Amino acid sequence: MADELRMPLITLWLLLSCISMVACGPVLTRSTTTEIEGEAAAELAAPTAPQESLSRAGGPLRPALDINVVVFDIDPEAGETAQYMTVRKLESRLLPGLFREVLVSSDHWGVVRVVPTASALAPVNIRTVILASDGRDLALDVTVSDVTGEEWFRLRLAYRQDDPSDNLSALQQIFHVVSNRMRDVWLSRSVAERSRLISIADIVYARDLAPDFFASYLDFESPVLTLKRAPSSDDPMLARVQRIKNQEYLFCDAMDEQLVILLERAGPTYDLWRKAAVEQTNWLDHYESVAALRSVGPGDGEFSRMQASYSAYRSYRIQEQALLELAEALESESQPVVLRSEGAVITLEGTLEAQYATWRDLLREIFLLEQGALQ
Amino acid sequence: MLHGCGTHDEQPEMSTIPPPDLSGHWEVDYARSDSVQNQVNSTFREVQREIRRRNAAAEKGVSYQGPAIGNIDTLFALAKMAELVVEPRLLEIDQDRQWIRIERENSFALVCSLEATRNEANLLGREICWWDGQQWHFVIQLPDGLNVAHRFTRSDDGNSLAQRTRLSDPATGHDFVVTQIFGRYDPTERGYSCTETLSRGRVCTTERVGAE
Repeated sequence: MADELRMPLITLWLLLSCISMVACGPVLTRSTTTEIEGEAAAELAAPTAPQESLSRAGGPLRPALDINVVVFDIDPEAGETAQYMTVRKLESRLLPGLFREVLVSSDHWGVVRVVPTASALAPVNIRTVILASDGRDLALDVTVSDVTGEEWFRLRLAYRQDDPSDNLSALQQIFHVVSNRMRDVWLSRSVAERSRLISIADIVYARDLAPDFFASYLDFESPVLTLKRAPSSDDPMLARVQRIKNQEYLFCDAMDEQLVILLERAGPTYDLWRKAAVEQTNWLDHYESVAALRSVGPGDGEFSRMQASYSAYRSYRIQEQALLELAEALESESQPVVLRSEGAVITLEGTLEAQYATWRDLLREIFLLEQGALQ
Repeated sequence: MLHGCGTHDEQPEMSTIPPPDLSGHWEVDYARSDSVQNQVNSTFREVQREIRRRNAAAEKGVSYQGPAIGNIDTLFALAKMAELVVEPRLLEIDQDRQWIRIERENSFALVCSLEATRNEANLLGREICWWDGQQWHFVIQLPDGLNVAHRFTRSDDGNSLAQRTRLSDPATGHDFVVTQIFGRYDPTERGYSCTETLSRGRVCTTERVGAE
């Protein structure tokens, strides 16, 4: 029955084992990250163990590249039940905050924002899907791409926490590899190429607001977007776009404040849940190894065996239910975002995605109204 | 109370009959509940009788078809486990048309949906629950074979709740069953109230419940 109970773990283990076999790398140990690139097994890369350290710079690489960390998606298989899906939703908002902290602390990048959806607000978007998460194991698919449509790389990050004393900052280290890889890609480009990408992002953003005006600046024929020509730097239309963009940054800042509060409120409980999961699964591993060696039948240790088994289960469920309760409470809160824009107070309600969509629609309307008034 | 060769793996099927309302606060009525110690004594006597019957049959040279005794140590371990499992003396039940949630003092909550039989595995065990039209069933299967099954039934007048807990293990032929009867109570009349907190565990206050 133990095998049956641990199917999700086994699935993850199989994945990790495959990686180890292909790459002849070490078996995953405490707090390690494994990465794969692409989908084909042949492209599997060697596991990175121990944890890759974060490359840090004295200041942003020039020109400074802004980055969008998109709120994580959830693989439908990762939730299993509605209740667990609630925890996944909590993770999908907690973990991007940790991801962003890593990118910011590397000091390689310009402004790093957590955003509800990918957009041309920044030249580069990082999309992440939670594949599996059970407290001890976490598997993520990370895709980094830019606004031209070019995919920089895809990584599968797998983290196993074997030591209950590890905290969220240990988990956070799995994102080091992403920042390091991004730095490699960014440095492999000439300064002119980097500047061009940033210009394209500005035009793509502007095109979303005024397609008739800005689409002609872009060449859609090539596999990736290229710039045909650039508007003059004192183009008044571009200045209006920049003003709208600044308003969109307002939303991201407001959302950012919410994520910080979320991390403060839910972070400790999430951490406790992970610790409990690690303790219990370590106990289970130990139990199974002892049971496999046990040649004599039950004896004096029968009560100890049952008590340990039941107590481990009870303790795990208590922690799990506390996290579920918190996740559900946080989900139902769905805080409105209150923004002050040009003297007006605007309150956005609904899900984060809905609030963001409403805000962007509003900005688009303002832009069109302004444009109409000027024409 | 003993159920030799207990087969408790009846096919769980969610009944469409609406369950009675179990909502509220419940506490153990010791006068009407089984004492685990009495159950242990009873189990011990039953096992002794079983052994005597076997010995008598063997002396007479006839085959004996009685229930298997299994491992005695396991049986007594089950009895001790029963004390641990039925330890919660207070229950708080929330129920609506879709869900029932039985919060148990110092233990995890038993949660079930009326939509379908719940059969869920987590890292350390499996939980199955269903409503059979008369009773709520909650079964916890642990990897080492220990099986804990709770059944909840409400009295017709709505003032009593019976929790029947059966523990079984493949190493013994006997299950261990304890029945507890709960009566309703009003937590606001106790003079104190307690809540479970993440950081400080169980915290009690003598402040009037519901006071501003």
